[in-house]
Amino acid sequence: MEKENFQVVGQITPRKDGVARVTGQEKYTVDMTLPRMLYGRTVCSPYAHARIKSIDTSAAEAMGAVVLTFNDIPPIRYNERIITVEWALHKDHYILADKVRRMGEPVVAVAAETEKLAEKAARAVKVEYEPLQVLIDPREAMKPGAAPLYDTVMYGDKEIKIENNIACTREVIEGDVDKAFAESDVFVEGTFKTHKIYHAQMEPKSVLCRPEPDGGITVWATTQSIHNTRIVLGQIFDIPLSKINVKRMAVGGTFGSSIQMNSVVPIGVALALKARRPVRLTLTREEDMHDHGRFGTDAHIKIGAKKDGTLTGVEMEMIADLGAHIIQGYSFLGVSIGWVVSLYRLPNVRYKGVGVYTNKAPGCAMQGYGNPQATLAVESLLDELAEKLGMDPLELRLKNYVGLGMTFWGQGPMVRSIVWSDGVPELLGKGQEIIGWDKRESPDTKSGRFRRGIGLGRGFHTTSAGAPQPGDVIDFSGALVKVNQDGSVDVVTAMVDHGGGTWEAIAKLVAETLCVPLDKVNVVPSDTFSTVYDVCTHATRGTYAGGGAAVKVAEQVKKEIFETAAHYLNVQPDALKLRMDHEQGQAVIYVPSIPDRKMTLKQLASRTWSESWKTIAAVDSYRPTNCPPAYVTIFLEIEVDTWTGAVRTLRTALGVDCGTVVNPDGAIGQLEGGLSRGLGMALYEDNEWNDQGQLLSKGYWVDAKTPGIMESPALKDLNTHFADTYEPTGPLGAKGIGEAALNPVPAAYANAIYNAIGIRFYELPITPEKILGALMEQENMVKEGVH
Amino acid sequence: MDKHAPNEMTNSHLLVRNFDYLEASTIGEALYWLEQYDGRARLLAGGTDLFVLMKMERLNPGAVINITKIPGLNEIKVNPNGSVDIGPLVTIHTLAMHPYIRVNFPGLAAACLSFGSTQIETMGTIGGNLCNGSPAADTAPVLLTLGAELSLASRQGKRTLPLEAFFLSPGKTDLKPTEMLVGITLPAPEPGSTSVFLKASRVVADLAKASLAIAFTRQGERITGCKVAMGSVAPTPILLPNVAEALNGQIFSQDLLADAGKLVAETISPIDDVRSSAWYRRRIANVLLQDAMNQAWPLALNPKPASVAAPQANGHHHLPLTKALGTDHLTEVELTVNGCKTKVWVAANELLLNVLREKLELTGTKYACGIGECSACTVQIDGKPMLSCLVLAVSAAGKEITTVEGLQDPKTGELDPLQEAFINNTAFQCGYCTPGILMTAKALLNETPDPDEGQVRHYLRGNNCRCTGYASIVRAVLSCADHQE
Repeated sequence: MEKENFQVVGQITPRKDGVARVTGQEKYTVDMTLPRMLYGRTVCSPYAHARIKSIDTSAAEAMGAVVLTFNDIPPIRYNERIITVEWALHKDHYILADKVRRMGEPVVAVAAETEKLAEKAARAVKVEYEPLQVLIDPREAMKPGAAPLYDTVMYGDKEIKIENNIACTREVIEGDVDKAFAESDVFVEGTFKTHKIYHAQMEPKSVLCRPEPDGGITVWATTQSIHNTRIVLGQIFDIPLSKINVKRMAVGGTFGSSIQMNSVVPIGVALALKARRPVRLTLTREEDMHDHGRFGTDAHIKIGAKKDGTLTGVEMEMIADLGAHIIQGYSFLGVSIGWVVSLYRLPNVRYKGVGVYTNKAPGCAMQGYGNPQATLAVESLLDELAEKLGMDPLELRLKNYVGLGMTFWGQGPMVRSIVWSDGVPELLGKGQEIIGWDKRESPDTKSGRFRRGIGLGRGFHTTSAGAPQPGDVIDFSGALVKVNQDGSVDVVTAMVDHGGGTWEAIAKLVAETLCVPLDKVNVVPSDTFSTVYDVCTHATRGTYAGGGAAVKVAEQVKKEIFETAAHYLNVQPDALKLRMDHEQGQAVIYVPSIPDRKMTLKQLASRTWSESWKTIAAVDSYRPTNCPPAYVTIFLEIEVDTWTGAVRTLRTALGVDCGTVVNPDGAIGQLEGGLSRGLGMALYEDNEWNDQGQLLSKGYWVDAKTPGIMESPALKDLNTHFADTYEPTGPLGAKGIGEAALNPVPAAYANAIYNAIGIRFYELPITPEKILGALMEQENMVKEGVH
Repeated sequence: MDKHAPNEMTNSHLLVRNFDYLEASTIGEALYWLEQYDGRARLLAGGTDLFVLMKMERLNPGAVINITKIPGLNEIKVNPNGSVDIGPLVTIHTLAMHPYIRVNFPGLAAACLSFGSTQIETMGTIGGNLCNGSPAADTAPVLLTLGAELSLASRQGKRTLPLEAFFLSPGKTDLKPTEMLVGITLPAPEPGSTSVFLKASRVVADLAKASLAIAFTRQGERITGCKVAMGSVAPTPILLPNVAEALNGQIFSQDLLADAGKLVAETISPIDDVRSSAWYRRRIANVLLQDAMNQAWPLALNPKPASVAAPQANGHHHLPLTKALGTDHLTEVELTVNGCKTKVWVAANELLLNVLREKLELTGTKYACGIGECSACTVQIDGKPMLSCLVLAVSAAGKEITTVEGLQDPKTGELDPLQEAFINNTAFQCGYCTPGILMTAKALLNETPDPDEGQVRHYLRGNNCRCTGYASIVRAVLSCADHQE
């Protein structure tokens, strides 16, 4: 299909969920209620690391509450996130804590007639703790003699010992780094640190569970994957999956926070099963903020290069702060080097990653899954290298980036594919022009209080974790597409839309494929009963893999339309074509050479119905065999107030190569949103723990500062643009965008700040305090009262 | 900090503890109840500090006495001699918009506009901001420089106190448990005098890392009548008389300001906390002094018109009878929501947000932070944007409440133009913050039908959206501005 002939794809259309979302009618899990529903609450540990000595629930039970303790739950250890295949899956989590490993960990759960009564009952539960040494620094946690968080965890079906709180390690060696470095002329290296920041998704995590008369359960949950949630619940509660129905809900933002089955889900289910009544359990913001966060990283990276700027190899050591539980920490170690070597051609690699348990919120994927951290390091080092070589940083990037025809292993060592579409030169060119790159001056030419800087961050994200072979990560989708009796189309998919417009994209792709007007294609509400498997809406795969599945199935439906219509029109199926007829509001099946042989899809579908023949429909699975990079380039102009250290964003040029742009308005929204979250990560957001494992914010939103409307640049200074590419492996040429939009943003800020003041920062967030401190050091000034 | 001191988690979704709820219709009544509860009662004005502290369980009062229905306390009275009497219930927003204040005390207006959100401005009162006793209180520094005087009443009588004697330590003021702030008086401005306020914070919509106010009179190139005060750099908001002394009578120059800035840094006693560090606060205090003076200096040249505008009252309603609701009692209140009158049984400690969502099944209004920091729970009360997570349902009786469900035309179901604009500009993604943003933006358009980009951003500064990056929201609201049509 030719890109320019698209009728729906690439058009800006009012989102189908728009009316629901602007009228308050959209239902999120937190909004769901059922008759006879009880309210759940958990008893949270007031210590970050403690043994539970005794639990007395009598006072709570006397209030009429249903109470759940460790003794009531299935004694099964699981991993909340099961996209890693079973043999490589660490399992360390029980529904309720066997031992407390983070502040606020649920120890007991209660359910009662009102939320207030549940709260009272939870407070009436008496728990005796024996506090243990709290470990918040991974380097401390790894020291011999540090208090172990775990003695053993499950690895697949084997129980393994945990030594020195090291949950997992991963080494990757390719080529010969020593040789490559011996042949290199220049080196750049640095230790880059990023913190365990909070997703700050607006909807707190929630679950509603209704036990069914047949022993099954119906579950409404905040989740990015209804099927994985169902599978884990089946494993824990030993209920056949055919009796577990997880509903696909609108989600109030995730950014990765609900990529796993959320901790509240099995607690709510266990409460409901014990109470034999529906139970809703919603986290308070305080609990939510203690529940999850980004993986913190501490990475030393060294890159070698030849005089002409050709990169030779990379050596990297990384410590990942996993927090109290492992949620895909092993994969995290793999992708972290994957991001590095897929940014630029680094044929020789030596890497060691260590994932360490600490008494902090469990790290789960957060937009980019290690990619913004890796990109910060690599893009900072590339700027340093360019300076050393006297090269234009842009030229150095063009010379070395992984582009068209090259091997790309974004999602870890086992997920490799070829780059088939590459808009990088176009994006760099456009951004260069918009921001005025060529007029960029070096920091030593700048003086005065307010200093401006221009910075570039280039990056990507893999769309899906698809690959030719199965790896250690599961990635496939599915869809059911059926033609209704009036020629409208239902698309039934398990894919969750976090708000980015995934459903809109899927509807457009199906409408385009079947030539049905968009208003007659509906991505219908669904659940695990009505859908085939989809792994998860993550890894920037919604449009590419979810849309890919929908297009694959729509093509099958198209074939059936032709075969069926051929029967009525008395022609060969292969002679038939489809076109969209806006006047009739129908897809029309026709034979180009015989004008009177035509019928609308409505005529066809109503005939097969009234003649008691069939529903035209198809269902199938789709495994992407590629994971193409969605490339993003971020050019920024910022201004540093050297008296206060404050950074102001003046102008931006945000560019993306997402192949065919399915929802242009949505894609612009992704870039603008990525900038906002990226600037939060770069400049503001932090999540600090004290030595007792208590969040300094105590879980209050006031101290987890996310950027507001005042921090985003003025409309006229916010430029966005798309590369003109077509991804041959994608649905109608599309790739993803989601995470890619954020990944290079922190790097762009770090580089822009360097360009303004000549100081490089290796740790996020780059706060005014850090900038001012560094400026004072630079000026050799005596800091009064600096501790 | 004790090793292994337990950190119990609070619940920002609820007011967990019970309390008696009383509505006073006169000052005397409020004072009577204060005395009856013997220090265990708290006065409710805007509620934006009180309920946050109660949710954080730093305050657990036995009774909450709603004083917002006492007549006469929400007025700004300009006296013939130019002094101003400000009622303690005057909202921050009313103060910021008052023409006499804006002209004569620009620093006070600026301080009011620097609050974390329009909603807090609209709900919060000047009395509450002072009586909360926070070192970061945004209005305190400028009121200190203006020589504000407080009238405090108790059953034993009235007393007046200069504001500088009011603040004792973080969260603690000279207000006795049985006393009530009944008035704030600003002395008449000296001819040609002006004031300025600046604040440094993490993001713009935030509590201060440090704030600074200066009041002075410009006589040619000379600074006279100067007072300097700061917030968030000491246990209380403080006057800096030595800094004022250094500026007073001096010829304005950058060297003078640089020296004064250094003196500020030496004088204050800031601490390290989650918002910033002591050394940074010293540095920024220095810069704030210089920036504030440089900002105010050119503007101080023009003699101001002696405009005395008519006082604006916060529209108050007919007087209800004194109402008392005991701890364990439910009372039936009549709420007017989206034009419909509904009777619901509520306890004293039930929040409007939860009553709307759970009892009236209007789930468009959302809980996200519970402490008035994200504005997802914004509804309009009597047309003003307010945070339903910090409003007692019982105190909302008799007021017009509008939720996102009430934006559509009730008869035809037609969408409001703002809702249309949000769809046409794809000004939402996950949609969770959208209702709160719509209710805030709608209030802006009602107040200012033709806002520019800066006004849109300022009005929406407290509404958090994690998905969109805000640009599409700004576009949508601007597309509804009058000049667009």
